[in-house]
Amino acid sequence: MELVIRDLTKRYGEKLALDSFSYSFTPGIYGILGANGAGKTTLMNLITDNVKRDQGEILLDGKEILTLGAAYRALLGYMPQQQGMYPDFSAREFLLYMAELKGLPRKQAAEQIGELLRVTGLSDVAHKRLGGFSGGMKQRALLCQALLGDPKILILDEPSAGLDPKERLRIRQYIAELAQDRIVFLTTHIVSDIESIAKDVLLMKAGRVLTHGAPEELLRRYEAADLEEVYLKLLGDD
Amino acid sequence: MEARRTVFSGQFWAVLGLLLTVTLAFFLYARSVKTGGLTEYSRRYDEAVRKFAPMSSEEAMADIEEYRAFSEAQYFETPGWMQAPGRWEEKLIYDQMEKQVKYRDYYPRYLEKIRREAKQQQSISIFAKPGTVAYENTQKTAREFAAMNADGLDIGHDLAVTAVFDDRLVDFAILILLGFVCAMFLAERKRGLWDMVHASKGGRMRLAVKRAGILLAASWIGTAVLVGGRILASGILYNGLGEWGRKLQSIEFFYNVPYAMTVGQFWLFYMAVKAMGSFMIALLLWLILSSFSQLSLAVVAAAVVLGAEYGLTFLVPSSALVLLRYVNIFSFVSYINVFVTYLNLPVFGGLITGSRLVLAILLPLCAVFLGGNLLIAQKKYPVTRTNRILGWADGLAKSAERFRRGHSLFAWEGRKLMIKRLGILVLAAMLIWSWRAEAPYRLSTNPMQEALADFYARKYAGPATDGVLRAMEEELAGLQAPENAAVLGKMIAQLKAQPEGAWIVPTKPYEAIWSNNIGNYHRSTALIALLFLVLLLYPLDPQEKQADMEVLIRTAPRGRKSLWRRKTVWCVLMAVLVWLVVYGAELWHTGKVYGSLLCLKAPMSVLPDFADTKISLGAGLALYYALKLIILLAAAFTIRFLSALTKSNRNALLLSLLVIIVPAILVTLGVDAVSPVSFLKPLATVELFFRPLPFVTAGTAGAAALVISRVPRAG
Repeated sequence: MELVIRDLTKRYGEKLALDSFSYSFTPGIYGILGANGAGKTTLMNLITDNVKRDQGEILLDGKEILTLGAAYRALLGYMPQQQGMYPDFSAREFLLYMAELKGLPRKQAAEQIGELLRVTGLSDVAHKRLGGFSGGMKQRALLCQALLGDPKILILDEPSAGLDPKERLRIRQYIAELAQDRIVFLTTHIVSDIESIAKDVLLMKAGRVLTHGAPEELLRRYEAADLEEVYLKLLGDD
Repeated sequence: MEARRTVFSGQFWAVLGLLLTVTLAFFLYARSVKTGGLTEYSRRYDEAVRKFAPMSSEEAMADIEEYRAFSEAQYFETPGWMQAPGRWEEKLIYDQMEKQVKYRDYYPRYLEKIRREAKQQQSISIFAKPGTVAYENTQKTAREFAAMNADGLDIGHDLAVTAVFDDRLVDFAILILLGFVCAMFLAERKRGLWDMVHASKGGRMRLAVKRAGILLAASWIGTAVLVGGRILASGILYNGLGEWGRKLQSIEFFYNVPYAMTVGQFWLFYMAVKAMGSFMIALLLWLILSSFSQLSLAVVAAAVVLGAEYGLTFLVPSSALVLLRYVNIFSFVSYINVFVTYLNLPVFGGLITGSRLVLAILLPLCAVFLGGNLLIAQKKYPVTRTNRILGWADGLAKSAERFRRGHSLFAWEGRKLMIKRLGILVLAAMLIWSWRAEAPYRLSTNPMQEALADFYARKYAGPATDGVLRAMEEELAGLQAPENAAVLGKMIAQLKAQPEGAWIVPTKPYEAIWSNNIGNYHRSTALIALLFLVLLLYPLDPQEKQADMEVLIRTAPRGRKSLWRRKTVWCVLMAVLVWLVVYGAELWHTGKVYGSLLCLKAPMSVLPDFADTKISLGAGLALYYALKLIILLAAAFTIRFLSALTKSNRNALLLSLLVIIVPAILVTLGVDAVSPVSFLKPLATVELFFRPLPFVTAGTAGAAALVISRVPRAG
């Protein structure tokens, strides 16, 4: 499986949010780093076809994703940055609803939901309303719905925001296991989240890729002790 | 800052606007049902009042009797006379004038009766038992009514005052508004801010005092807008705005009120009592809600207390316990009933009128509830143990959740609309309304003759064959009662005068359904249908945006076209449901009042208004109601389109009310200039029957709304 992005451009008025972005993604974890406004979320929105592109193409195994339509979206698992959920739904209700939107057979959905709630530590609160959840609990519920249907392309926008260190470690390990045969996009400000698990790290600035490479390679190239140092060296003056 | 967050917030004014719109719409509907019309009735009512006001009672009654005799004669001599525009309203006006004239004569006799009874009681020793409740009651009544006299009683626009009290919607609307403000006070608990607020300098007593002030302001604003709005609407409708100097007892509704005041003084007094009464109830509500740390328990407790109080108002018999009806918060909700009912209650060995008792407890109750709220604000801590009841409820919910199963996407959308967005309550309200709705009007001056004509029409319903005519003649020959013979004889003569293929059809139900908007019935019913449709459909699309779920849903494979199709089916379903309930009720009530619809195969030309129409009655009915369904569908798609433009349920509701309901209200009031941009007239149908253009236009607008609202492209 290969997701190829060529010359992807998006403008919001005068501002160039994404500037001729080109990259090729194969199964593995891709960490996407950058300051606010670097174009990370715009890139995620374009990959999920939630924003209209001005220019460029996104090809999955050679086919344009706009042509594939619902068949492409069936392969996606998306965890957005904003914690948008129906506050009067219980966690289980929410996941059942998302499973139906993803077209999962109900028996399969029930099994997956049970497993995901257990993995994310939400089994005991599955009956409670999402409106009463803490920020971290909402993150975990969103991660559950992203993982429903065994997606081949997983897009996680700030997945560990609001989680305590133990929870972050657990989620990180879980994502690392998942990434064997799927493409995982992981945008984050917490550099340590991707340092040990990412196959490739893309540093973005002003809609462009500033640099990219495997974590070890970046450390060598920029003579840094860790990725945070690389980040600060390249983006620290912003 | 707190005031800006609550009383001066957009949400408060939006809720107030919504309540005003809904109460006004139902007021217009109810008035058109009761008085047979709005603008036409209003004009004729004003003319009648000006005509009868200077007349003596004898002159007025003579005029009324002359009208009755004339209209009865015309009914027989001129076919269709009563069906002419304005005739129905005229009849109702004369009935109303008769009531007012007779009351003007009755009131001085009533006062005299009170005085006479008190005198008799004192003079006849066996009835003179001072100290007993019966004796004291009679004497007290005489004393209080001694100041009243019949001087200055005049004929005026009584309806401008009495129509204000047609229903209790406004009373409950004020409560809803104040409940909403109390909910805003508790918003900090929902959002986890209570700890912060409680820990801050001004977060306890000072905040509580401010909030009491806000409740007071909200009570007065709510009363001024909702009650004042109703007074204004009624005053404009029945031309009574200039009569605030009139003696209150000129209006029969107030004959039992022993206080000398003018209509204007009454309005000021009434608004003040309503405002302060609402303030007292709001304080109680706030007290109950803030007594519990858990919001869900608080809501249940409030419901229990209010329910118990409400139950006492009608479950308590007229006995020693009748005090419980008056020392009751609902006596402030429906204060007018207390005010116009003269009843002396035994309290602490003495007697006090119910209305005075209610006023006497108002300020002490305000003080007690205010004190309670200040105490809670100062003493109650945000952090407490979990309530045991909630713990049990949570355990039950947890067990039940294990068995929760998924639904189809269609069922999920229905669940969101009906359960989560409380569409089921709107549905329940619609069913209750349909049960209490009225049949459409049919003009009648001689019920006896019409009942006989209807009896024979039903007996011989069908084609007027030679055999049927013979049977009718045979029956006529054997009839003893002259009225029956006159009616049957006339029927036979009319049938013989018609060409071949005549039908005998009981026409009353058809005349009722197709009465040319007599009594504004059709427009008012259409307004109610549109209102229910808006209330059911407004959250269909914006709830996703409001919950920030749009991006998530659109990423899913079935989150675009599939979801849009299912939402569209719900849109159609709601339109069909409103059509079935509202117009099903119309047919049902018509059948109840005027008899069932027979002879569907008979031509529509049996009805005078459709003399040139070639289709059958059945086909006409089918076409008539099919057109209504088309318009409701068009309105449903338009509501959906409008709501999809907004980002919140509240804004969707406001926009739909503004675009769909406000023009409909104006058309109902007779402002026909607005009708090109309203669905109301085509939905009322009878005025536009057999004119295709308005229906095509409305249908096209709906279809365009449907097409434009299809799944938007990513962007």
